[in-house]
Amino acid sequence: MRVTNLSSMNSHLRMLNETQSKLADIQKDISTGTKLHNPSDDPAATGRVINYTKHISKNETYLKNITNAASYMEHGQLIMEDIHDRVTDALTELASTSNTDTKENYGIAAEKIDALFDNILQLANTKHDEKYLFSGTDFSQPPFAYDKGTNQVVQNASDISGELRVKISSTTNQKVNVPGSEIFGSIDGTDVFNTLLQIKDNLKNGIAPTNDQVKSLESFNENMRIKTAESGSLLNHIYATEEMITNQNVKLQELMGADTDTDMAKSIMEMQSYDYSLQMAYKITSMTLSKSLMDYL
Amino acid sequence: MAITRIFDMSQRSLATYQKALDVTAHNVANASNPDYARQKVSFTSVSPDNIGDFSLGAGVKIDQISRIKDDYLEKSILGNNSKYSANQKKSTLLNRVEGYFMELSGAGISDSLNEFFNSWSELSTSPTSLPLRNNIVTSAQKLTSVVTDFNENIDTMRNEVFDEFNQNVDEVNQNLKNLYDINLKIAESKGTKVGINDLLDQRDKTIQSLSKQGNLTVKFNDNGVANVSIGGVAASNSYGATQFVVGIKDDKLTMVTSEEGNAALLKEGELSALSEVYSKVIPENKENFNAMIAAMATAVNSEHQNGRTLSNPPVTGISFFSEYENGKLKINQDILSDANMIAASLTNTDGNGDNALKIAELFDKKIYNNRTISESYSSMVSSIGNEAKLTENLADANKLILDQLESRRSEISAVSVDEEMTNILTYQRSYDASAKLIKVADELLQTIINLV
Repeated sequence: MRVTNLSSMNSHLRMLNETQSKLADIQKDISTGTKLHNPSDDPAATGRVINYTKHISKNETYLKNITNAASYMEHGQLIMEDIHDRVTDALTELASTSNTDTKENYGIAAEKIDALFDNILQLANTKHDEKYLFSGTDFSQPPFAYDKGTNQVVQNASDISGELRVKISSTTNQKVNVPGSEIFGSIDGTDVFNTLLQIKDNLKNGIAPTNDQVKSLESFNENMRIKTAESGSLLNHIYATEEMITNQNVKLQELMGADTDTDMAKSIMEMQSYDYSLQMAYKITSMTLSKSLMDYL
Repeated sequence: MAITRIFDMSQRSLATYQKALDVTAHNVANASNPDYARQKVSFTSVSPDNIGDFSLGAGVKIDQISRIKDDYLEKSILGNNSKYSANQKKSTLLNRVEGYFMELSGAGISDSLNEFFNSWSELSTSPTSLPLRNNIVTSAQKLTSVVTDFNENIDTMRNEVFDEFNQNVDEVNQNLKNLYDINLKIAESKGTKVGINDLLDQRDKTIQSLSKQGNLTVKFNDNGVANVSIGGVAASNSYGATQFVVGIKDDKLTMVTSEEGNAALLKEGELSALSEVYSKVIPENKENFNAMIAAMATAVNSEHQNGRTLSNPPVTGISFFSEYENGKLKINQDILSDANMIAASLTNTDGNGDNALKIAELFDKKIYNNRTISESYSSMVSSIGNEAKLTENLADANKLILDQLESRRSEISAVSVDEEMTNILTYQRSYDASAKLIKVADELLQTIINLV
């Protein structure tokens, strides 16, 4: 093999360039913490990363949706329990009234029922985050209102049966509200509000509540208990989904990390190795490239 | 036999070795010139004088000063240089194209698509919420912005590729003119043996530059004149140099002769890479991208038109995107002015978010080429990435071969200073010996003169 100055110089330059290029790549990986800078670095991994990012991003949205839905449902549950308690109080009052026979006591009971009625009506019109809890999907106005003229409670909202559905996973659009129609039924005079109004008016007039009226309230409360339990069950399902999605995201982050994250220990070892090679290459180049026969003539 | 014959021989010898030292000096001076092919002096003995029955040697002369070059190796280097240049240029251009998707940066098109569809999912939790409606408008504006940016960037790049192609054609024209001038000088110099080797080096350097631009066919005549054709079109010889201009042939960017309009069939070299990216890679990717975004916009509009707005009075049949033309995706101006014009409800109640859910679910529906938007986009980016990686690998492989060939050329044709220094010593000693011989002849002549 004939060794010329140019071939020797090119050989040294190639060696230096190669080592410096590898060193620069590793330094970039270490300083950015990622080994995937362009799709061409690993096209298959890029496809996976786009997919992982989409799922992670969707899951983060589902988690936000779950947080919003859960607070809405929890509030709904509290209100349902409150309404249940108020109706229970009314039933208790009516039970104690049936044991007395004085009209003065009826008057006191009427006042208590009236207060409970106001309470229940107010609770039924509760809002959470600008949304009425029991108005279905019509949030334009309070679902129920007391009409002084007719002395009756009427349904304000056009439709209180609407279901509010929230996407909590890629396959689940979860119903997150308890529509007013499911717990209050039709506001047609036989509902809980108007029954309480009738009982109050009767008591004021010294008339004891009828068995049907008491049964109607008991039936309402039983339904409320069932709906509260159902809502609790849905809430548990939502929390279970939240946990599942959180775990999914942790796993997805791990998988994405395997495709993108720099293996620091390995990269640092490689960097040291290439750095050593580069220093050796500099040393060898400076030792041999300057030598020629001229130095000895 | 005269003593003066010794003078003649010595004088010729001195001139010969002085010339040899000149060549060696020329070699040493060009030791670091990568385009230089070392020159070698070949000596031969002068035809002997026949005196009586004897044939007496007449000394030394230079037979030829040859240029050391392996023609087959040079041919291989030209071919590989064209291939390497094509793949290297294409790889650089594809890296730019993939960069415009801005994936892996956290600000890419896929991130904007994710944000846009997720904002619809969020709205379904509280369909009357103005902040969530504004969130949709903001994410849509971001999406339209990245879509417009992509189209503008890719268009700008295509224009730049065209300009670069144009500049490269100018460079080709200049090189062809230079080659023609060199060819003329070579043709004139042949026979005189004056500076022909250096002209051949210039010729080879010019051909090497041309091989970077396109696929060449090179033939040399006996005089050393190069006949070069580029992409099958005769380009330069000793009779003239063809001049090219940029042209379009079969929807492909190419260069055509300025007079006859003959198109070069570019298969290798930077010009072929620029042509492919300009005529195929950019238009195909842009078309695919725009068709995908158009399918997305149509699907969103189709669902959005079914929904009911939160405005007073509520309306239906509203499109979310007003138009998608010339790479510009525009949001309905009514929605930009009032986010309540977003149609999230599918019933007569404002709190219904079923339409928002339907639009959010479009992201997982196969609405373009039997694939979801995300799958189509991911496939597009991976495909560009794959092509860029493949081209980069090919360029690396070409470079490796080219380096080996060039290394081999350096071994054969480049100057070794050690070798030249050895030659200098040898020629110097021969020169000294010839000078000494003149001195001896002079003494012989002096002796004879003193006898008189």
